[in-house]
Amino acid sequence: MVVFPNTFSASVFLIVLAVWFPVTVMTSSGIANVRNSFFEVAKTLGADRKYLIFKVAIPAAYPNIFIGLFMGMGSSFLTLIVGEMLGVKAGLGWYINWAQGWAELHKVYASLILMAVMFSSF
Amino acid sequence: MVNSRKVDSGKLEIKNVGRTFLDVKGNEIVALKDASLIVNEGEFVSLVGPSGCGKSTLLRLIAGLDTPSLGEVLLDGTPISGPGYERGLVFQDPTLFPWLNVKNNVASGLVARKVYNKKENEVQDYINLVGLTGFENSYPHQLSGGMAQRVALARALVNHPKVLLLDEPLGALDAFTRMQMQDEILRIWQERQTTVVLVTHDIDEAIYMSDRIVIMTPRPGKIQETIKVEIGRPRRRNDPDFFKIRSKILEILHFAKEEQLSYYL
Repeated sequence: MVVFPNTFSASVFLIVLAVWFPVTVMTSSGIANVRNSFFEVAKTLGADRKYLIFKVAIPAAYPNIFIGLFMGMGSSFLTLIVGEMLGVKAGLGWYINWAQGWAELHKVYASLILMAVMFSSF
Repeated sequence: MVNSRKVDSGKLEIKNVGRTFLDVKGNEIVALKDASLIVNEGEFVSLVGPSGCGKSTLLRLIAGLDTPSLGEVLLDGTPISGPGYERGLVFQDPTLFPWLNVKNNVASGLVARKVYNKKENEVQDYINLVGLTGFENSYPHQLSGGMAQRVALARALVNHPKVLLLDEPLGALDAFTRMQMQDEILRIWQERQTTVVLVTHDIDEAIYMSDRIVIMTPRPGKIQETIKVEIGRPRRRNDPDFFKIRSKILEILHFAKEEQLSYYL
């Protein structure tokens, strides 16, 4: 209650945590797996540290970084729905709960289908 | 065309160089023992020998990617302390940056040294020099092995290295592409007059290309003998003198023996 006075900031924190983890892990493993010979070639071409980081390590790790970003996107939606169902007063997750309260199951199913369609593209 | 200024430096002095590694158990493994060699300006020297003889280790020491345990390596009298653009290196694997096209791969040395703005026009010259005109915008995965190796060569040459270090650059190519590339490297070498150190498994390649052949033997890796190839250039691959040098090298490496030494051991 002290750190996160309302459910909105608490949800933001949870989503940040859910995104941060896969992005960080995939980025670091991507950079750790860059072939050493790329660095060696760059060094014999006269590269400094800055070049090695920004023009070799990061581009070489792009595939992994993007996987991390996509995983983060998936988990962020998941956490968003959880946040909406538990306290936030807006969004599809909240709407499902609300429609459920009125026993309007067609609305519940409609939002479930809407969610499936929207999130499947990511 | 390419500015073919004569490179009037590029003398390598390798003085009593040794390199030992530690294995997992902490035992010392001598990869290179007491190697001494002088490579003169503009000379083409090949290092040949079976695997484990330390020839790649020696090349990495010259490139500055590794530091000697003993002795020192000098370029034009200055000790080599780390990798630098004046010693261009081409590996067996082209190691092109897959996220850059041919033009940007060749330019990467200039970009790394922050001189790209001044020397942008040279990139095209070197692409032409290695015969890849028209492929500037291709990406490495679209190139054949020989073409990729040409790009790697152009990338090393664009920095005007004093010494060109070739670590089995043609090892992965088929026989015909390899012969073609040998001629190409010789042409570039004669045009640019850089010092070249070539590591190779292929004795014929060494004889065809080099001024001197350094023969190395394993366990511990050391320089066994240096042979001068006194055949005029341009050389013919079917020159009878080739065979003499070839058999001499095989003898030094104990591959020309009638009986196998291992029978008695």
